[in-house]
Amino acid sequence: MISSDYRYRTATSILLALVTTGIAAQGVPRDENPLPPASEIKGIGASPTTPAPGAATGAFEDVQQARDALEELLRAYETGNIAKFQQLLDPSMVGYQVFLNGVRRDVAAYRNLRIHLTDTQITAGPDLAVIQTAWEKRFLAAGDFTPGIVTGRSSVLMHRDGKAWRLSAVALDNPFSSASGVLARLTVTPMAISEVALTDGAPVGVEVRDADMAGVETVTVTVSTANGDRETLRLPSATPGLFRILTVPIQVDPAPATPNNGLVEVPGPGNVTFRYVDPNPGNDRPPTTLTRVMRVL
Amino acid sequence: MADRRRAVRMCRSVWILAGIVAPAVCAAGADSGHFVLAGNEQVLQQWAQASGTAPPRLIEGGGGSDSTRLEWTGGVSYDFYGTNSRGGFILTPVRDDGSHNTAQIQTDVRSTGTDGALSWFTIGATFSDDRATIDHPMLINTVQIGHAGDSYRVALGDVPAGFSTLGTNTGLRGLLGEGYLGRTLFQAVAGVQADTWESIANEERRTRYQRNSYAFKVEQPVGEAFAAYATLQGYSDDSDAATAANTGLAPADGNAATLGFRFRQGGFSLSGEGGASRWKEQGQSSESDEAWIIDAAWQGEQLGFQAGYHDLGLFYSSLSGEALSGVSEVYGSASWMATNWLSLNGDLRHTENERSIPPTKLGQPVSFPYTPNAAEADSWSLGADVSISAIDGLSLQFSHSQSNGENDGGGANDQSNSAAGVSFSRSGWSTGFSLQQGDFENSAAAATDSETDGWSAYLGREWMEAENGSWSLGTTLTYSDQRQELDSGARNGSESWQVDLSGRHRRFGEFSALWYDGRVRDPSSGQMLDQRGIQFSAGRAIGRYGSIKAYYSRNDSFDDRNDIAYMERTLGVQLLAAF
Repeated sequence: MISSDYRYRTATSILLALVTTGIAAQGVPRDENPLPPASEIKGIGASPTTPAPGAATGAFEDVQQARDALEELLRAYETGNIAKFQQLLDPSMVGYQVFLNGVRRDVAAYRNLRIHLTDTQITAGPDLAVIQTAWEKRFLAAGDFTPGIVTGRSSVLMHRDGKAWRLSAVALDNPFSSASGVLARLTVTPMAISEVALTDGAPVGVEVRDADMAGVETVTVTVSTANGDRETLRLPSATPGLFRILTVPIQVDPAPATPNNGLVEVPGPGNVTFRYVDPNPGNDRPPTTLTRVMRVL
Repeated sequence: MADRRRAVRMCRSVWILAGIVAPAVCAAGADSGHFVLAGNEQVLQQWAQASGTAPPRLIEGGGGSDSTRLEWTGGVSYDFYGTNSRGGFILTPVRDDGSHNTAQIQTDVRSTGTDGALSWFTIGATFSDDRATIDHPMLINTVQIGHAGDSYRVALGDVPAGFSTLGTNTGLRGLLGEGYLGRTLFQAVAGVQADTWESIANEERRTRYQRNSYAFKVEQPVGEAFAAYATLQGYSDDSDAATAANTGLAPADGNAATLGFRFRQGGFSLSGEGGASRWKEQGQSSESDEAWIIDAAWQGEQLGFQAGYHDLGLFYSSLSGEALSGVSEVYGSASWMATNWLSLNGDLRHTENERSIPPTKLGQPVSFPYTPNAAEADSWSLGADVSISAIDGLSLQFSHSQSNGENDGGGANDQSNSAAGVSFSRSGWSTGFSLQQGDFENSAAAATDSETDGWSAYLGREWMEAENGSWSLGTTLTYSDQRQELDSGARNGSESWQVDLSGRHRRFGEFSALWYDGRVRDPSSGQMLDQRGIQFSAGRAIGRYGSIKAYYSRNDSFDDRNDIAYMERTLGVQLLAAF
């Protein structure tokens, strides 16, 4: 890891260069065609300050163009066309490289990738479009062609760049890049179980579906009970992004529990709490703990 | 230690921002004598940007200055189609076999008064009995009602609020207003972030907590080229039992304040913003963090530069979808039209991803590896387009991008992609050949370490009626081949042929047809699995405002392996009217 000193030296040097350039630019003769004072300033290749010709009159056209641009991104992602995908991104996008590396990781991990959109809602203006949609990503694992599916809901922001629409940001779940965040789903089955059934050995399963973790071998779920037991479960990968244990080692035992002995000891009726830390839950949330409670009746 | 580092980082960033802002303000102030108040068009364009709707048009009344003009545009489409599938939900999106109806409607009404004030109403909706299109029988796509006076605007409904990168940049369902006091622009928005309009009324249709949100922005231009602004925003999740049970998440609330500026003169532009936020999840302690961004660009006739620095703390939270927290990145990119036959572009960046390092505050065990994403990476890319002047129509393209990263706790996370292509087009003919190569190595996700190679070639021909272009016809034959070798020893690959044909006639309408046939290598058995399909559509205009289109598609995949075999087929007709 490069030290934070190095990081700040690099950042400071670049900023100083920017400042110098900015100061130098003050000496440039006044622009003969100044922009509106409060207009948006965009970098190279970014949105213009005025709507594209014709855009002012065609709300339908704007909606269709924004939708087409999103479809183009989806097709580039599905076909693994990294160069094309890169062209459709703005270099000044926050998290550009994290996003792009996530796309590359998906391209290596998935085959026959297809994204299907439902519930699509588009609000488009001359320069800004917000596309809210639910999505389903279907794929085959590259290693053995095990089929898989990931679902989510996104709010995609697009800006017009000249005549074309470019991706500005993806909020909520990111369908394009596993590195950029999709909310995991933690499932415990059953949600309620009788003490008798538990004693008789009825299976308790736990499953984590976290697209951001596709490729890793295991994820960790912690279990805690009312009598102070605390166990760590390692869920193996079933398909990319899907981890599960079909039978959790669990038993009813009124005696004091022994934490971290590999066996979940339940004292009797009460709650058993399962927790999974989602490192990248999307929607700009920091690492978040998902919680499920199984009731023992 | 972390607090001290953050404090140092904040102080340093403040001084840097101050250093940038001060000279820019001074310079802008020197030009303030040339300032011209924004005209109507500027105001309208700004409004269009802020509201996300087409800007109101100031229309000269045809019958004199005392007339009011009403404009009404709209469109409606209706699809009747049948779907058929085999293979189950995992691989095909078709929900159920049978016939379906889907209708979409959108309309926009605008009224321009004698004083130039404009009122509008826009609504769009989808109705369908196909659950693969919408989850419920009806979905409101967008709805907005608004009024724009001489120096103020208000809108109610779907309002995209694009205040700033670190502050508010999202779509809300609520009320947005803005107004000028002198040259100072005030903007405010309040509403909810919700999946759909229907989910606001019905908790059971929510997939996330409904987020009550508000934001304010004040922007002050100084001189012709400089503007400074401040934003304030906050949100609070509506706690409901159904969403808690559905997601396992706790509701959260947060707020953020930002200060920013923009400067532009000639081809040079500079923008920066700093923000501080507080985020709190129910049952957890509050977290504060800050974020800083600065971007500069210069565009000359043949050369353009872009550079910037972004540093967003892990717990930074605002209403901006662009503010990806936990990322620190410094970058520079350039594009250069070196000669009339050569253009180059390059990009260089260093990225640190705090989201790939387990935070110490969680207080419970986390997975190892924590994530398969690099904690730190150095990346670069280079691309070139070459036009061979000696042979008209011949061009070459080269590109290479590479990222060398390191995972948390060590271990490589390296990726690279290379591509080269040649294309030639002349006299209606077009042909091309391209090669691609990719490498992926990640110690945290070793199962997908692999090398991928591929190539493709195409040959196309277009014909067009020479005299007045009343008809055209085009066809392209494409072959592509791709192989992936995983370090585990598994190999998969695909090869496919594709033929497409499309045509247009001024009187008879247009059509397109596509046929593809390929084989995929099963990595587990080495068996070659077939994949083939066909797509066809044809349509023509009906009168001045309508059109009709028929379409058919069928896809058959992997028939030789039962657990992944699937087929999907759609046959339908679409009627469309727009006015």
